[in-house]
Amino acid sequence: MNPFEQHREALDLARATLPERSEGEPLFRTPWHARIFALIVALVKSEQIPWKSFQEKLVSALNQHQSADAQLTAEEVDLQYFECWLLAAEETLLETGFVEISDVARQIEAIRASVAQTRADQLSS
Amino acid sequence: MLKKTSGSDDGHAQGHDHTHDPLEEGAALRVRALEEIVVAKGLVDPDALDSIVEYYERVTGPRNGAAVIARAWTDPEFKDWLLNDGTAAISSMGFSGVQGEHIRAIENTDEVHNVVVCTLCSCYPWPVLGLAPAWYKSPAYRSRVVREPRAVLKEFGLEIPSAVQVRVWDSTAEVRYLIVPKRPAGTEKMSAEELAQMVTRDGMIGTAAL
Repeated sequence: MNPFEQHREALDLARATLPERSEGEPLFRTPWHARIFALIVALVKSEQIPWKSFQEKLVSALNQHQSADAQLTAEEVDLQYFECWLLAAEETLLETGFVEISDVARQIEAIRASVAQTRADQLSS
Repeated sequence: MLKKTSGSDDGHAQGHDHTHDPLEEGAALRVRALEEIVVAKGLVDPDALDSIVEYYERVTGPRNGAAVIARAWTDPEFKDWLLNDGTAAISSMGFSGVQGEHIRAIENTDEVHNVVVCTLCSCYPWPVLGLAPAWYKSPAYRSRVVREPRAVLKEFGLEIPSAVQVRVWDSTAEVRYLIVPKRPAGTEKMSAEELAQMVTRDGMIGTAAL
């Protein structure tokens, strides 16, 4: 028997149909896709991180999160792809020391607090 | 109402008893936090981020590649240059930048049809094609086109005669490929501008004929 046929995941991929192929897809489906994309490109352009080291993390994130389900729509491909891009970006920023996990937690709290404050102000005014 | 649990540094979402909105959780919030931190540290300029988004949304895209291909069809010297040193020839037309550091142009002929993939992720010549379409990033395309290129091309509506060899090029972090499609018959009198209108993104990936 062909060993390939014993490999379920590979077989699923072999049967998978391609996502739809329209020319008019949006480049970025949500604003954060554009922001995290630009953040990495900016750091690569200013030579603060090598593309190759980011790309290796992207490849590994895609391997872990994308290959399990081959039957995806174009939108699902993009959503998973940018989730992986974000994971690779976080890993890169932590590895370079540009960002600490505690910074991120603190910043997230600050954003939450500011959103809550804005909302409270809107309700009371 | 947000209940703040202070003193925790574990990076996980805290105080989950408030009403969620999209900004307050998940990826959008993580991205905003990361952006604010690197901007506050002076590592990136927020205006630079805006102009990068603007560049990819409005400036670069397959029209750049189409101009390169049309010029190659009409200017034999440029075509030689493009095939011998794609990066230099392309950058002479003003198209350069991230993922354009090493572009190799490959010509389709009567004998060989070429098609590009990135089996590992999504390597793609951004300065000439813009960002990759979703199907190019899909696991189905990335795994299948290497194994059964003719079947995949057929799904794109492109049937390659058995006498024509199909060659698959795997883009990497080091080299990205741009396909020079065959110039359509009956276009001898067309200008480079008119020809550029005929060149499609998929033609330059090799998943369509012109």
